[in-house]
Amino acid sequence: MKKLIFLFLLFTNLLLFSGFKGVGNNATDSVLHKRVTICMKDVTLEEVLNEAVKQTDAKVFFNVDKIRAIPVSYVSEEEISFLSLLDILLENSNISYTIRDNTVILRESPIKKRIEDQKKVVKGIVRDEDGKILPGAFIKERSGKRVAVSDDNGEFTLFEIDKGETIIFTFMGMRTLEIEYSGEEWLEIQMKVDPLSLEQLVFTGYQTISRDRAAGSFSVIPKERIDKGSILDVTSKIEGIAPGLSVYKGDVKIRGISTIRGKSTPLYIVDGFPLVGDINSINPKDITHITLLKDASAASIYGAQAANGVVVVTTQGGVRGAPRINIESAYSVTPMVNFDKYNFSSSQELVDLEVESFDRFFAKNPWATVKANKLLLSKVYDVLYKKSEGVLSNAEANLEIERLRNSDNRSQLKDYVLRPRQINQHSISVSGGSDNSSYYLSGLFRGTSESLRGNKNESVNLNLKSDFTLFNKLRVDIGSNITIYNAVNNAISGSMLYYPSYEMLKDDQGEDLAINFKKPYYEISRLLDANLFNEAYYPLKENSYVDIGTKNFNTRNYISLKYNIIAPLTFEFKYQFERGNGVQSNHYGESSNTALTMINDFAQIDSYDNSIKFNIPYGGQLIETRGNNFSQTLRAQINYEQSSTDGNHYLYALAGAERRKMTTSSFTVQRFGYNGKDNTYSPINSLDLGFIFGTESMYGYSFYNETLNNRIYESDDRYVSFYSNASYSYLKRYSFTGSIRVDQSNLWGTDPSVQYKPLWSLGGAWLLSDENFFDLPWIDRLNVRLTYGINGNIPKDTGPYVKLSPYYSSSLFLHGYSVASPPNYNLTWERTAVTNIGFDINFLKNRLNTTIELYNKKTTDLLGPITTDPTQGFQSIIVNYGSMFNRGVEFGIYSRNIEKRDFSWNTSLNVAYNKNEMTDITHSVLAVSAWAGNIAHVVGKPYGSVYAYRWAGVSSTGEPQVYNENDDIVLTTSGVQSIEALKCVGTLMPNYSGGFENFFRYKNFSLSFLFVFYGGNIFKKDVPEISGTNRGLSSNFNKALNDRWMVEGDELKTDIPKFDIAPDNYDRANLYRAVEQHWAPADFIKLRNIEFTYNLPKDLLKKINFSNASIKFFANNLFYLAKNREGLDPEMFSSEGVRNPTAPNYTFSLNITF
Amino acid sequence: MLASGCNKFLDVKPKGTLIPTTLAEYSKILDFEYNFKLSDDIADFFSDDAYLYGTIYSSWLSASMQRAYKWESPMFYSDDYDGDWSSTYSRIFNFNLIIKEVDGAELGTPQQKNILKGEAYLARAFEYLRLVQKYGKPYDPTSSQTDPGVPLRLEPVVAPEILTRASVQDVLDLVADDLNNALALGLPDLAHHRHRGSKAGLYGLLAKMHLYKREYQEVYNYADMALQLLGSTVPLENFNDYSVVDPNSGYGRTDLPNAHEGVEAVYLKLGEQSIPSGYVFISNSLKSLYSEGDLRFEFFFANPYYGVSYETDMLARHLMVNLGVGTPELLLLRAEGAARTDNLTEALRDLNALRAKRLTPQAYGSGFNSSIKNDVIQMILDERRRELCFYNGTRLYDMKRLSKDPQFKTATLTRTVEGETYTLAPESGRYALPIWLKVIESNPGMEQNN
Repeated sequence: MKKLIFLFLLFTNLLLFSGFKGVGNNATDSVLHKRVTICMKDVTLEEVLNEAVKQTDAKVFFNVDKIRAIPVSYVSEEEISFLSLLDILLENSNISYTIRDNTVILRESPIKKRIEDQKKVVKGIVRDEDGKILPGAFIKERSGKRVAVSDDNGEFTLFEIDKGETIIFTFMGMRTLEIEYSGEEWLEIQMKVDPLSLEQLVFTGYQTISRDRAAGSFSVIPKERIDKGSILDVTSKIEGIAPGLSVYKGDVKIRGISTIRGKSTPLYIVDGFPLVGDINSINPKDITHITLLKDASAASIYGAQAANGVVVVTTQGGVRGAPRINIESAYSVTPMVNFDKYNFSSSQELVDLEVESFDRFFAKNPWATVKANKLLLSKVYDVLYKKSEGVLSNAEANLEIERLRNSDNRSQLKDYVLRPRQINQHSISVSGGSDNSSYYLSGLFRGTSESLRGNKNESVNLNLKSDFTLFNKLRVDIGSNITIYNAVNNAISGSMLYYPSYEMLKDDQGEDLAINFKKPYYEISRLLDANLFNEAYYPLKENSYVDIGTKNFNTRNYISLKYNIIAPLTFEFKYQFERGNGVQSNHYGESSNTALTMINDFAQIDSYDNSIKFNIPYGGQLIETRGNNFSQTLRAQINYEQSSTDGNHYLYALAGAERRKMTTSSFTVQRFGYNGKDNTYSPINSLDLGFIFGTESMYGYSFYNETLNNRIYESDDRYVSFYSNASYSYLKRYSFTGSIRVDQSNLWGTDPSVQYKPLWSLGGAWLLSDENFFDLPWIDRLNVRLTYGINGNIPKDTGPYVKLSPYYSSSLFLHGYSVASPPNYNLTWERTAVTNIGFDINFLKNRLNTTIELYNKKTTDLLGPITTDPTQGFQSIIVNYGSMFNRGVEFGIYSRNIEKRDFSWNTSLNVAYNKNEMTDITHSVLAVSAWAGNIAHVVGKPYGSVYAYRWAGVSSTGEPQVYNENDDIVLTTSGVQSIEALKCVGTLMPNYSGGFENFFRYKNFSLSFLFVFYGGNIFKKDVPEISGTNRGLSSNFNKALNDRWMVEGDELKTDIPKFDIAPDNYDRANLYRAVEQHWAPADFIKLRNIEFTYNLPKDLLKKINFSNASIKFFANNLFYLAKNREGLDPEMFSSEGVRNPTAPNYTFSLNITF
Repeated sequence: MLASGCNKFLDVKPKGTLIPTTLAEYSKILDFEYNFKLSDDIADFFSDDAYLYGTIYSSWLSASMQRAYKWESPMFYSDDYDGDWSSTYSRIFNFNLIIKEVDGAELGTPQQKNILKGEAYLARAFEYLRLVQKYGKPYDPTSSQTDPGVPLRLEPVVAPEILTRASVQDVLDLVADDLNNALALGLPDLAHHRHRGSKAGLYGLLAKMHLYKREYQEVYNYADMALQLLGSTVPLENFNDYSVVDPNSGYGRTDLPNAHEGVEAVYLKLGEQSIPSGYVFISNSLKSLYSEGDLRFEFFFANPYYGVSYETDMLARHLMVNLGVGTPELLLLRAEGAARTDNLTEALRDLNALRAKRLTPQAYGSGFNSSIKNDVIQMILDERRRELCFYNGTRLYDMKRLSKDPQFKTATLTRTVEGETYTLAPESGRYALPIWLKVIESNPGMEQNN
């Protein structure tokens, strides 16, 4: 069956090709050897040659106009070559010709035939901004009569040029350059990248196609954008640039979300292969192009993995010519976050609140209960209990409370816990090559000291790419990439910031202090009295007792062979493997709280002689995971590229097969009594520690689960795919494309009948402005594109089989199998039909380029869990439970506002609007309390919709109140019995997104800034906690709580209920957390980044033999405007409403090329 | 070219999850802890053993537990969750899977396959007997054909279809059939791992089934057959060998062994006592049954509990107990079977064999003695309450069968909660616990208990 499909694809392609005949036209000179048939009498030289030109791709230039009209006659039945025709026509005339590539230049001349030398000869070399040579640049004198093309060394020769004449240089992807000739013999030409024309090429990973022929929805990220922000990772670089791509809160999405359960991030392709690792591990300096594939026609070539769009990354290859070296050094700093941004109360307010709530807590928890349950209290509660027990006198207690009230650990946090985040990054690249080969080598070092002291990491990235051509027919590309990443995470947890601010880290004498951490002080004393270890937790000491590190080594290698079989056919063979090794090592030293707690917890004291039996040996503890992954991809592909003789027809088709295998494995061990110096450890008997009573843990029993930290994991995923893609264009005006792909895998439960469903697409493009009837002079280019295709997700983890998963009971020491999922016979794949209509319109002599796209993504058979009748044996099963659509419009504009020699200004703006709606959903019967405050999927509402209780104000006793389904006021979650009572407050997913960027250049200075905006959605603000715990508050509280209800009458002034200690009733807090006012509009616009560049002057560079040198300053997130009432930055809040303030970041960098 | 060898390439299966093929793999399904570990049971709140008061009542218990205590209908609201229903049917699915597929398993002898299949039948019978006792009306041969029981799921498929409740008789017939099938398939006399099926366990379950049907001769016969298989001395823990180690702690409060480590389990169904310790107080009627020197009282209950004194004693057993078939229950079953069939000597022998291990020697004295049949039966019924309190609804199921037994019928129960008085008459339909509302909603037309 599999073979059959492959043959079918091959056959359909061959069928398509069979209509075409022709000869390859790749070699330049061969054009002039092309054979022509001419039969003309009594015509001019121009007419004959025009006819000949039609039959070949040659170009003819007349040096002098009068020779056009020279009368000639030529009659022949036979084909002759273009050159022979010229020789015959010009015999015995005073006209000679010169050939440069496929251009014939005719001139009046006393010397007949080919003239290679002339008296005024100009030679020179063409390079790009980075100094890379540009072979194949077209050079002409303004009239077009004298032309040249730069050779493989970027060098050119132009004849008969006079002073004052204008020479024009053109090169694909570069801005056209005009210079006035001032008599030099050697010209050094530097051309600048034209971001607009670079977009004319589209890299899909399987092929590179011209924009004109691409009907699908592609966005190309310009190189200048990739080069921006030296330390930015790839995902940050692509934000705000391409319409339809949003990076909201770091989450990359292309055109919304079209799956509920599946993965919703795009597929990353690097140099033609799906990337297994993290995209941000790619050295951004190596990237030359990023192309986004947004619709089905663009993405379906990648099969089921591409349902969320594809990001194709192409990295730098070698450039022929003398070696060129680029060096960049960057330093980046993110200052410490201002504490005010956390919106925490002061120590004073915190202590007052705890003192106020103590009586209520005390009433429910007398000292006997606290002690029997060994409750961990806050320091304020500790004092108040001591007072109630008479351990402290009133005066002593008050003094202690006053001391806590006046303690503020925030300056100590700044001194001992936090620091500015700093990054040092250095990179170097070398590139060069000869006629038949080229190389590119790069290295990047990046060292980061994180904002929590004790956390740092380093990474090194080495990259080699090389290509060589053998026998003119075989091109070989090889590449090798190595990434080394080492991180140390010894810092005390960032949650330190949330500990009560009166918990000081050091006393006045600079001695480290212990904080209330895991066990209450009286329990710690009890353990000490029993001759056990001291578990007092000193945050600043703990830091030095642990050693937590990660070490990763990854390598990616490929080889690609491209063999030109016969003219239109090329055969490609590619193989890549990625291999990674990682070690995650957590070493808790012998003095660490983690080790000592475990040793104490498992100790048993003999009641007869008080001797201690240590079940866990004294010493450090090591938990180490060693893992590796290996993936390989093998691909064979046949390409067919053919133009008809007259150039009117063009066909490109490919068909291929691919096989992938990805394995990962890991091994985790835990060792006790570990000594890192001599590598010794002490064995334990796990079987004796399964569940032991009479230990010195808080609850008198202890439990060791051997399998928790001693684990073996292995996976082996395999795929086989067949694909084909074809595009045909006529007159470059009409293009048609089609693609098809079938994926199969070894994944469990994937029913073969589901796997064999192909993903496919069809599309067409029409260059309307090329039509004769098109008569809108103010439009320079108008291209209309239409595509339709199918993307999808295949259910991977369930199918028509019962699946078991292993379960180890550590209390019974029993291995068993649980039924992970029942057989599921009725599943089909999740199917997204995508229609895309695009318009590319250029105005004002191509200075204003716009793209408008409309799409409709209709997803049916959405896969998702539905709760079933529990009598069936399962709480939920995966079914095809609904459908939704994503409709949207995207608008992109690129404008070259001013382009002068010394000053230029470009603007790009893109806006995307996406409307998502559930059109059908078999949703599960859910408890109302499970809806409230959470995301629910409901017909007619968008993905990510949040439902909340309707707020009815604070009651006269300070309790939170909401309306139920009958509009009655209720005070408990169970008072609301129907979802009708809830209100849909909006969706968490942005509806619109976009970016607005400006580039300015004045002489050697340039400035660019990018604004991004998102909106149409909501975010959750942080909710003041209205119910305390055992530990009083246990953390700093939200300042808003200061405005809470305190006395009757406050309900008229405030929306914040009273604070209560309710260790046995969290319902009021749960209710309050899910009321409507905690969600606010998330619309915002932010100055995402700004970059200032100074390029050193050319004459200075020449003196020091540099071809380029620049200094850059980059800053991000300097400024924002938000729609919500408080002006909060929505990006600062997680979806659960946790506040994570950040500070802007500043980067300086220096870049040199020589 | 790439296509060749494709099948082989894709045939490699990922590790970590698996589709069962071998006998050993099917067998390990029965070793999955939660296939023999029962969950909390709301049924115990219904019985006259439970007592709740004051704020404890409202703050410690879920709304449905509170309503269960008040015998309220509906006991469940749509939000509420009957974890026991879903976990029981989940286990039934697993047992159905073995019954259906084990014959085709690889790497096993036909005899091994038969034993595993028999174990699955036994396990399924155990679950359906619990279900019908809990959700069905008290067994009455005159109406059992029409009294609604529970839905029968006998195939390992999830097929959304409208389910109906089989009659109490049909469910009990299935239990009997499953047990007969299991017997025919040749289970071992005793199981090495006591959570696995054995003949002794099977006979014990048959005795329990007949007890519910008030067929006392069979109760005697099967309990006796089970005990015969256990040898000449019935294994029992002697409570005099244990003590309360630390009255203030939870686990480890006493040094009584957990069920899987002790000697009493015959067919192990593990569970923390059906209502977890620290959730319920005991009623005066239960408390008054424990005489001075009954060690069970101090081992099972505590006041003060965790340092706090309460109005009455808190259930504080903090042990993994056996909710399947154990020697104490077998003795009580045989004793009741004997007493009901006028064999008082044997009844007293079994009763005293258990009491000797539960009471201090002083309290035990020369053991309980009586020649009045009803007194002996009453003593055995009381002993069941003392021994099997908060044992997954055992007391409630006794109350249900006794409601059809004029001589031992429980009186109408009354409870006062927050000033309101609630009553439960012996004939009340409320004795059948309401079906989870979600199940009723999923199966339009399914009959609810009222």
